[in-house]
Amino acid sequence: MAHADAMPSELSAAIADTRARFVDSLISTVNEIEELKKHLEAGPRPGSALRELAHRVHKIAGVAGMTGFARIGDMARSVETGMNRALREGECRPAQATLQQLENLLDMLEQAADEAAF
Amino acid sequence: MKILAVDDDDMIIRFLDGSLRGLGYDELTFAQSAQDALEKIDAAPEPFECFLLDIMMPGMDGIELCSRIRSIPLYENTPIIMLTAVKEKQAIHQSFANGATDYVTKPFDITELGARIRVANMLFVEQRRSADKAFAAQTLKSQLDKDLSFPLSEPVLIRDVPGFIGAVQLENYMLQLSHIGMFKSAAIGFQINGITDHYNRTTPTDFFYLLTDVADAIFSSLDGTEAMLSYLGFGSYVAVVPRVNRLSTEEMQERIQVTLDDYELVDSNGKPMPTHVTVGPQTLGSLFGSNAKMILNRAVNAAQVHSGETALQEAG
Repeated sequence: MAHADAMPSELSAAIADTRARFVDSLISTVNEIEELKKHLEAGPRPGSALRELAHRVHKIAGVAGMTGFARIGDMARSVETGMNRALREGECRPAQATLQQLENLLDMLEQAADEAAF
Repeated sequence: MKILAVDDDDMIIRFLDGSLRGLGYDELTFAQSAQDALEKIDAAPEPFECFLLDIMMPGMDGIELCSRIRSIPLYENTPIIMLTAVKEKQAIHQSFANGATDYVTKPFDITELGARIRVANMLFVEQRRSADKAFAAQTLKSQLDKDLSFPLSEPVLIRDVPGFIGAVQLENYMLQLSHIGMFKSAAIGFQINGITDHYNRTTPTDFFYLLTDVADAIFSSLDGTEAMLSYLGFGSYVAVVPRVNRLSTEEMQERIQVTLDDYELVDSNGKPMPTHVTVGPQTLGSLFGSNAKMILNRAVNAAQVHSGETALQEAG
């Protein structure tokens, strides 16, 4: 079995590829979250929107940190924690502080997309 | 090494594909749901040798999938590494309770994941050796007894006792709790008194059943407390329990004894096997300088000291 240092170029290529895919997905991710946020605020089934949002943010938390976006990953994790807390407590909407963190996360995602575009 | 990785996130699948190949693992199969994974396991021409499971997936989650994989006899010892962004204590506890070997949180360092896979594989080879003996002991019984002997030091894997896991898995479990800042656990050691006599006087099959019955009795003494238990060899067990609990050493010892007396343990010739277990004091990790292995060892040593079995490991 080969060790990590035997093929560093394949490893770095895999990380670069995932980073590129993450960056490419930023705008659609923002749009998805904005859409779910609308359902959370005014939709007929806010609980379902909250669960979907928590899952979407959970996925961001998993990938962002591995592709060089540690701050985005940390923010996504904070949002996820707040959303899961609301779900555990049977709430349809998270606390205001979590909603503010979600706004911050969206700003960070948009900023990363802008920086990648230039 | 044949690896099956399960994650509903296409980006993670692609990342694992590229990076694990970069680490030299090229027999990779991927599934994007638990159901997809079970179908691929069923259809695999040769068994997988390692599983990497995400937890949060639509439909069946990774913990349930872990349990389903473990229930397949072919995979009862195969390394299962949970690869997840979930850092909650309940998920960690449930993962190990359902048979996970290790737990790696996203974001992860791919070279660290490679190292964990290698360690899990080494453990797999070692466990398979031990489990083959234990399984044979359960099924073939006395006719092969003389060929099944295992040393007193063997950390035998015990089946069918919920919450019972291997020693390395127990260490991994404590390690994960400490990583998420939930190191609010205590360890309790249990020692079968006169273990050398038991070992010398019984057949390997009888000794194995004795270990299983004692594990059962220990669990019954924990009174429903969320716990993980492991056997370390030399008649020593160690349990990890929440730091805040209502367990009393004296009560646990008494309950274990009552349970063992109720079992009326006898060997395969019907000869009684009076068995006594000493319970050590609860060992708490300090905030400074304690690691999982040290805490487990301290708990076991404390039980051995109380039982007078201190020279066992040196003698073994």
